[in-house]
Amino acid sequence: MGDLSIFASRFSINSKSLREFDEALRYFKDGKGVQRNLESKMAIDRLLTVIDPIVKSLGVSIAESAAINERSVVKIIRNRHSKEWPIYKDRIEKLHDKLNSDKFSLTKKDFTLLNDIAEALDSECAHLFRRISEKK
Amino acid sequence: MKDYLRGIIYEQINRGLSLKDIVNHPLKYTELESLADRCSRIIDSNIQYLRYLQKELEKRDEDDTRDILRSVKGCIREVDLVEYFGISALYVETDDVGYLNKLVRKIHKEINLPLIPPSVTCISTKHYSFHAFTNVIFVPVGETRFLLHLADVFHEIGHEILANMENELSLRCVNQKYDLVLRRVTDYYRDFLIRLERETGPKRTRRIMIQNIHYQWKTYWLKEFFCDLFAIYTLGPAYAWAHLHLTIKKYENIYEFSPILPMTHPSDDSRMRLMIIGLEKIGFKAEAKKILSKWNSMPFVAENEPVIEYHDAYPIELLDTLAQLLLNGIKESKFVSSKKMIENDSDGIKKLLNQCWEIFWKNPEEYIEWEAKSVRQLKSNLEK
Repeated sequence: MGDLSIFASRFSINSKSLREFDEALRYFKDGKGVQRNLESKMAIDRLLTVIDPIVKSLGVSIAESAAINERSVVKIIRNRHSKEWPIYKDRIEKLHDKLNSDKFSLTKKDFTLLNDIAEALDSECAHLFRRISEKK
Repeated sequence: MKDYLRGIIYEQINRGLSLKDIVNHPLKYTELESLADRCSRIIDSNIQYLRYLQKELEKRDEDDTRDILRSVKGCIREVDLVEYFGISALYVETDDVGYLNKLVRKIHKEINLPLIPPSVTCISTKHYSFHAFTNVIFVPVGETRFLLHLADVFHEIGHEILANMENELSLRCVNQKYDLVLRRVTDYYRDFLIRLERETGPKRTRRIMIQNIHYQWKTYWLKEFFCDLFAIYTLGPAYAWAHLHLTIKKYENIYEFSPILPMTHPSDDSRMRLMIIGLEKIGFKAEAKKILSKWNSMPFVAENEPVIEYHDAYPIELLDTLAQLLLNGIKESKFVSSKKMIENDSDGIKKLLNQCWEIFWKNPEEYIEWEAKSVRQLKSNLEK
């Protein structure tokens, strides 16, 4: 009956999303993915699993299903980039559009942004980990 | 940073190997073998991943290790969770642990659970809880001597179903109905917002509150409601009695509500109302009436009143839809879930856990002796 079950379940989902996100990031880092094939499509999907709900929650919406807890991740990103938020938000949206386009290549700045997003998700995982392992 | 990361990876691989070494094989209780296997597999997969990261690290420049560090942290968290919530359960193989695991095995058969039964350990520092990562139910150490709160095991099994239903064909019906409820909840609050927009006057605060209520339903409350209903449908009135008993012992406010702060659990009042609906739906009408009458006579009902907005969070039609759809899903997934099936279970745990409440209400003082005798008998039966 405790909160543990709920946080453990969210932790599992977010950890899986993070691992897959990082694997996709490494896939593109290796210079692959310019061509649209099954492998690159899978990698893009793994990035979008995290980025889609973030972009959705940048506006006002009730997203019915999200693989990650979009509120917390967005909050973390927003806090870390509060000074440049309008520009930063715009960059996330542009990256999202790029990943949804037919052909693209990722720049160094794109990788930095992807790393920032992954680090926000990592913070959320660390927070959930603390919630499920702490003694009260 | 690269050197330090190399060191952390080596250290963590060694920690994983050591944890596997802590578990004594053969295990004293065969019921724990699935847990030992699960822990071992999680540790092995993390060790394998760390070895892959070791190789990946060597290809990188000194300032290009952000993703490697994140992945190493992820492995550390997983191995730590196995240590805290899996290996610790295997390390303490007392007779009480043996009894609880045999008990859950029996419940598993009685309710026709199409999953590996969860393991149980009695090292909880809180009330009952389930850890999806290791598939372990944690109960307080004293629970092996009593019966009244054992009903909560059924709720925790509900959490195991939630954690597995997407990937189990035999739970497909439950999963479909759960998704349907989720859509109904969203439809309900979307319509609510549409109606609100048509009203005159300021509405921003109320709109945010409704969005928060919807968020809590889909993120937290539906899961808890599902587990409550699962316990009601597979065990019967004993679970509602246990909820009343726990509430009287621990309540702060049965109508707890915040328009802004998220609550991981629905209010105790809404949970009881849902349990009553659920009991009525499977034919326990007289018992539902009795439980509700007792609940309404409790000081926590008389002493408190909900704020007006509270009613927006737990509308009766939504609770009713939820109870009906999940009952359909649970029945279609072939769980034991009818009054007849629960009552006809002559020497089962379900019968015992319902019977204990009848005896408790008849004479609480004599109950203590009856309970001690029944627990002894139960332990002896499970040994056979």
